[in-house]
Amino acid sequence: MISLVHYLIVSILLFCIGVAGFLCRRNALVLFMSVELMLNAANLAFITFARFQGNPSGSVIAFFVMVVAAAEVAVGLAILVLVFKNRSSVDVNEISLMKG
Amino acid sequence: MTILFLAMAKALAPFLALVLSGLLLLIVTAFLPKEKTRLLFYPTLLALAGTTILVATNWVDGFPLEGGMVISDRIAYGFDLVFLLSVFLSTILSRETEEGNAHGGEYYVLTLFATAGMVLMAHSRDLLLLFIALEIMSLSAYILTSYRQSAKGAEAGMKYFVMGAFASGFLLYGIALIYGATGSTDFSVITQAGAGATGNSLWLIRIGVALLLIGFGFKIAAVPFHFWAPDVYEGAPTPVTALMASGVKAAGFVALVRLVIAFAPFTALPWVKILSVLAFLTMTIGNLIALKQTNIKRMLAYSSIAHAGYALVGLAASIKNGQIQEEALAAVLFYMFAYSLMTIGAFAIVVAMGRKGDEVDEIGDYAGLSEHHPALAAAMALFMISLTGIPPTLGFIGKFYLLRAAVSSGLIGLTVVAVLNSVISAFYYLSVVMVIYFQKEKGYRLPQLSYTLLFAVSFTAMAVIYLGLFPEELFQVAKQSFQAVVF
Repeated sequence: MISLVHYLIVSILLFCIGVAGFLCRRNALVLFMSVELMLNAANLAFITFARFQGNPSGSVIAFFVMVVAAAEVAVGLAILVLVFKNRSSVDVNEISLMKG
Repeated sequence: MTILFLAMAKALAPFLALVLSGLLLLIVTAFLPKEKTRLLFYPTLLALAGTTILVATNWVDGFPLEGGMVISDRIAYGFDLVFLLSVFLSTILSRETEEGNAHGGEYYVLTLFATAGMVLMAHSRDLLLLFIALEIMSLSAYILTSYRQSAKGAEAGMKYFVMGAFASGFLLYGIALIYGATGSTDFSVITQAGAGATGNSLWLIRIGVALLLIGFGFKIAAVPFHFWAPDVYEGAPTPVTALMASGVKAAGFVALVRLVIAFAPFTALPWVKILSVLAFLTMTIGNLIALKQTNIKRMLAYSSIAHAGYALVGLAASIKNGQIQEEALAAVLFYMFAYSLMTIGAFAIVVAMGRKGDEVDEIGDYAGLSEHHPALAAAMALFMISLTGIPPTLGFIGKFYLLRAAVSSGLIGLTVVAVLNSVISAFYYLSVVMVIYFQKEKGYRLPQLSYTLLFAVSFTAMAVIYLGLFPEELFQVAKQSFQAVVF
């Protein structure tokens, strides 16, 4: 029987993969994906709690989060395109005009 | 029913005014010819001024409206005033630079949306609404940061976006855990359910609150979550930097104030220790790194980090001793107001020094300013003195209230650290004054001054002096904001 704890463990794993990916990968697109993974981990947690506690507001929250994530991607990709236009690369190690 | 509806409408009027005027201007921008869109400067200021009046009326009437996801208490309206002041002044600054003129209307629309996000953050009584409001504000701020589509602007926007999105991931996971433990995202339900929570669900709440603290730590640029701030502040257009240092930071603090009020009583986390360590690191590291900056915007960025540290001292004091919570939180609100005024004043001078499209960022470029523009030089000196915290300026009074609250709550060690930090900060603030007054000029260019810019500089300068001499009334306003805490 799959219980609340199992779902939560998957969600925490997803979150940790997202954080690890964010900290280790250097391609800006992969960073975006990692952040999406973190948001979706939170969504999974919301839906798990909603399902197991019979409280539908968590599922509603998940929809709001999806909308926010979509808006974030729209803005993020626009900025990414701007960066790419300026220096033909999306490697965050190379994006370092400012230091100190 | 109608009475309740009218009360709701009145309570939400500031937010609605900002969103509706933003949408209206967005439509207008689409139909105006490109060279005319800069005229939207005037309706934007009008909308901000109108909203300020609405907020002030609501503050005076002071009715804490219950129900729904929105809370309308004086805490929210008090912080609204800080947001509106900083957005108003930074919008005035935007007139002067290329960003306000060449690209037109979207700049002002995004400013209004960002303000709406801040206002909604102050008014949320639900963690989900808090998250969405934060995103409204942040997404607008990301775009504004890279509004000047240069390499530096794009890089700054990129860094801000990536770090901000990472932070909101933590924030959202924290909300999910708190929702799991209490079955709700509403602050008042959470406090009720949390008071009876034991074992696993209490731990879920604790971890959730810790994740929320990390998320908001990023937003206020507290050390160790500060590393994005200098690059973003340097790369963003100067008026946007001014907005980030004042309004966006104050919005982070209103969220922290709500968290402290809601969660500190029952989570039994070592709140005072956590906030004290955070304040200590933020002040000290901010000030020490600021010492070696040569770029004025980077210097002001580290100074902004350090000032967030001073405000965190007030938050720590409010938890340490429940007796003085009202006074300590009022000091935080007052400090946000004071810091916004001083730092926008300093950024106004940075804008004044640059000509359209090319900014003068190095501190060395300010040499000889006192000979050509004695008034500008005096104003810059005043802002630097105020940021250091030397009387009789507003900066001194703000720090005085904060540290008075810290002393009376018993945080003596942290107070000593804050005072020592002010001494350290004197080195870099006063070195700017030294450069302005005592260094020989090298290839100096006269800044062109417009009336809007003169207004911004003289307004902030006079406010810094006047409120430095007569702060009592304003502090009473801040104090009354925290008299009727609802949850």
